This record gives sequence, structure tokens and C-alpha cells, in this order.
Amino acid sequence: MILQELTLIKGAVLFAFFILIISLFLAFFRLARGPVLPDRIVALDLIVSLAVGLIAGYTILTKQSVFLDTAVVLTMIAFLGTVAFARYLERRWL
Amino acid sequence: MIREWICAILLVSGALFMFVGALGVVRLPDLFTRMHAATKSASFGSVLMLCAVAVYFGEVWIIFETLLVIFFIFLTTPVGTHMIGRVGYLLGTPLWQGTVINELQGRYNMRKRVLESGLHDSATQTGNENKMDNHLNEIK
Amino acid sequence: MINIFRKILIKPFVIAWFVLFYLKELFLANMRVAHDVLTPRHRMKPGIIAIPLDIKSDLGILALTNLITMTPGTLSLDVSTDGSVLYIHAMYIDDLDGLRREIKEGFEKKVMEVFG
Repeated sequence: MILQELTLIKGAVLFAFFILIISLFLAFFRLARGPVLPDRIVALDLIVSLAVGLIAGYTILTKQSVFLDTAVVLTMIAFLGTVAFARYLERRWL
Repeated sequence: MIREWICAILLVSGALFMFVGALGVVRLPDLFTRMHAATKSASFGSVLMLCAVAVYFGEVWIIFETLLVIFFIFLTTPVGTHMIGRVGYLLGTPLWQGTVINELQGRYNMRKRVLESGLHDSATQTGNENKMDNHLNEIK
Repeated sequence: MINIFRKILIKPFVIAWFVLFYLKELFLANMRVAHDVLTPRHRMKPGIIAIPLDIKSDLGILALTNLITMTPGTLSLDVSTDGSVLYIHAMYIDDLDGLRREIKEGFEKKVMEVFG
């Protein structure tokens, strides 16, 4: 249904989605492999950034500006998650 | 029409920046260089894609909301990076073997739980710098 | 009186200039990191260096660390407990004194103009 008439914007969004999904796989690779725990935190942070990009693309694709609110919440939760993980590591091992 | 082109270019370039960030996270050799890629490229990429949303809709409320998200990203990304880097260093994450200089070495005083500035004992600091200069010359 | 008036008039321009400078640095940073990631060989010389700070206010230090994290190949790691030295991780240390001077005279001066 989305692909019925392919405009410039739709093509750009789909291309961006393609790149972002490849990037997600790369980030997952680092998340799974990361030699130390901070590496995994960095990968998680990156995954949330990619998710914000995906949300931005989806907002444009569906023309529903409500989805932008999700991006607001997601950035906040990402920050809280990063800080919580860092504090946890600091308390746990030091 | 021109607005659509701007929007499409912003979207694709944002996605490409994020791809560079992800590739850097996989390819670069140690935690700190990986953080360089993850913070700069990825946050810049998401900012570009949010700008694309603002350009596409062009309504005041949405532009305001996008600016809010961008401001929040710029405020929080460095703080998060700072905390991860600090913890990573404290946990003894190995630096890449090509690392040229480490002036943080021995500055953490774990007993007193402070990070010393090293300004008061200037003799040791100049000693460090000389050693480091020699090291740089050796590398060149 | 005139001084206050001047401050109110000029401050927005200083802040706008600061924002433009910030965006320019951000763009350059991304280009450089992208170049190093995409080319097959790592040409970088990373390292952790200490930078003595002249800024005293917490807000100024926050702005400076944010700016440093978002600019070419530098990443702020920690501030010493007494707030007098900033430790940063830099990706390209070709010329140590040059890098230090660049941060002291480029970024710190601009941040001090805005945040005092």
C-alpha cells in the first residue's frame, strides 16, 4: 500500500530505512560481541539513536506527526538508561 | 518541490551518517575511539533526520518539538559519553596499542575517591611531557 | 547604564555566533571521523591529554565539555575533582601543544565570552 505511488520522499525514506537496518545489524554485532561491558552500553546507545532515526522516517512516511512524541520519550529513556548503566558499573565494581 | 528535495537529502545524509557511526563502532579498535564514532556521527545523523521531519511538515508546533528533541540530544549525549568513558577508564579497559599518550595515568586516587589535577607537582608533569615528546618522536 | 544596555544588545549576537561556530565544528568533526572510519587503514594517533581550565562556573564547564565532545576527534572524559583540569581523549595527536592551544584559545575563550 505504501509502495503504490513511489514519490521522491517515499523513495528517500525507504532508502534511509535500508541503511538504518544495516546499521542496526552492525550495532547488534557490537552489542553481542563487545569485549567489555562499556562497549555494550555504547552499542545500546547507538541502537537508540538509530531507533530515533527510524521513528523520524516513519513519521514522514505515514504523515502522522504524533509519532514524534515517541522520539522525545525515547531520547530521554536512552539518556536515563546510559546514566543508570554507568552508575551501576561504578557502584558494582569500584 | 524544493522542500521535498531538501527533505530527501536530509533524510539520506542523516542515515548515511548513522551508518558511518555504526561502522565505526564495529571497526575502530578500542572503547574510546568507538565512542568517538558512536556519539558524534550517530547523534548528528539523528539530528539531521529530525530536521527532515521539521522541513517536511513545516508547522510551528512540530518545528518546536523537533528543536526540543535536538536540544535534548545535544545536552545529553556528551553527558552520557562522559559517564561511560569515565567508567570504562576506571574499569581498566585497555587502550589501543597505537595510543600515543595517557596523561590520566595515575591521576585517579581511589583511596580518597578524587581525581587529582596534577597541577601542584609541576615537576612530574613536565617530566611526563618530555617523556611523551620522546615517545612522539620515536613514533615519527 | 550604557554598559548594561550594550550587554543586552550584544549578547544575543555573541550567542548566535557561538551557535554557528558550534554547528561548523560539528560538521567538520563528522567529516573527519567519517573519513577515518571509511578508509581501510587507521591513520589515527589517539591519546588522553590534560587541559588546565580557566573557566570556573559549572555551566561554563558543561558547555565546554559538550563542545569538546561534539568537535573534531576530541571527547571529554573527566574533570578533576577541584575543577581545574579537564581530561580529554583525542583521536589525532599530531601536534600536542597545537591541540592544547587550539582548545584553550579557540573553544575556551568563546565559551567564556558567552558564559563568563
